[in-house]
Amino acid sequence: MKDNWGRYVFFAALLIIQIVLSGYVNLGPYIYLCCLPLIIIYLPLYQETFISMLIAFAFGLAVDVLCDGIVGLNAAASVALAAVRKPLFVAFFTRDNLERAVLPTISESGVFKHINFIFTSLLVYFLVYICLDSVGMESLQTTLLRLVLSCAANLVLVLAIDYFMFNSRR
Amino acid sequence: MTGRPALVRIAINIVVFIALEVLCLAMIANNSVVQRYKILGAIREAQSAIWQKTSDIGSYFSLKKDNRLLVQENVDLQRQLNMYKAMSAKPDTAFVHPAGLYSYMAADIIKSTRGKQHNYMLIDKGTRAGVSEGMGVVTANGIVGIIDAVSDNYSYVISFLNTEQSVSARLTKSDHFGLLRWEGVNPHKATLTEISLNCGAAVGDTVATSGHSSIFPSDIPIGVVSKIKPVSGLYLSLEIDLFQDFNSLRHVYIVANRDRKEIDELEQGGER
Repeated sequence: MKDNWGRYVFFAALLIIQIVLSGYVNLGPYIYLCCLPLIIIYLPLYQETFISMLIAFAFGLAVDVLCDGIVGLNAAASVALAAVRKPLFVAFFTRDNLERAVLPTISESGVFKHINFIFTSLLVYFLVYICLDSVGMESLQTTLLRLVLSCAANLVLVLAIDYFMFNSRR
Repeated sequence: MTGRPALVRIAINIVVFIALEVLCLAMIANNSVVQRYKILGAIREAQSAIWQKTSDIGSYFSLKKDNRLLVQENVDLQRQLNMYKAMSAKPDTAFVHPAGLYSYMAADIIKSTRGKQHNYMLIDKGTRAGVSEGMGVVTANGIVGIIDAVSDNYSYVISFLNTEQSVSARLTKSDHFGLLRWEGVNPHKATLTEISLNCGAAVGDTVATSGHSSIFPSDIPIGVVSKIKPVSGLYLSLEIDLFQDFNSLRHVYIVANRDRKEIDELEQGGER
């Protein structure tokens, strides 16, 4: 229970960081910095997927409303990531990890596996986000460039947050 | 994790996922003009595709009915064509039979043989439909056979692919006529015999029914000349490639000569 409260405080902190990033950090049209995928990745693994989707939807909608974007964009991407989170987890880590409902640390699972898992999760999130944002109005090259650059930038952000906040909490 | 069966959990997840994504798309469409235009466009396209598929499936199931209507329409057209032919052939005649000399009736083949020397077929029309022995059976691609026996609902047809069957045929270019017979080997070929040497026949010439019998009307195309061979220095024997493919035959027309009885009686009287 205490652990859960700590987790939701961490999520609240990420939400504040997200609002700050949206309001004050502008890295151009190709890079969209977003902490939401990290929130969804770190939602409790023992939770049913449909509950994770509902929480992800709530967080996504909060970011959409608070950051003055197109309402529904982040919510749709968050729900998609929450839906595939467990299969992705099983693909990169072991079923044993899923049953223990613990996201292994970098030292436990190895840097390569950890980065792969985070990057694939980001890919799912930004694929939905960018596709819905551009809705076929941009060329394929532009869409792919946005996807790759946003994933790369957010991978750095997620790993940094993971290192500075989550590891210290563990 | 929970006591719910895996299948139920998957179903719940899918339903929640679809519901939330639809809600998100609705919100996006509501908040942005470009997205609304694109999303509504995609929805309309999907709707059109579904309607098209539904319509295609409906059309497929009504094909049999459509086919029957087309066959009936074909019969009517054949009847009209026959009438006009009769009218143009006798422009100065005081009286022309209003429906022409021949009438047509559509029928389906229910059984047929092809691999024998004496082939036959059964068709689904009999005396109740007005069919009688000696009527011809044709399609738009040529002659099929002659009705040999009739029951209430079915008729037995001696196929043209029968070595004992022959029909009167003519070269459309020169009007020379002879007897067309199947040789019992190739179902796509027949032989036109007793054609005079000076007929000027050439490979590629069309052969049609001559109309010199009370069974088949004239000018039903039968095939084209593929080989010319002189026989005993007096006649030509022409190999004909038949238009009619007996392997794919399903629908036929029974052709009835309205004056056949009268013609036959006259012929018999003359022979006596």
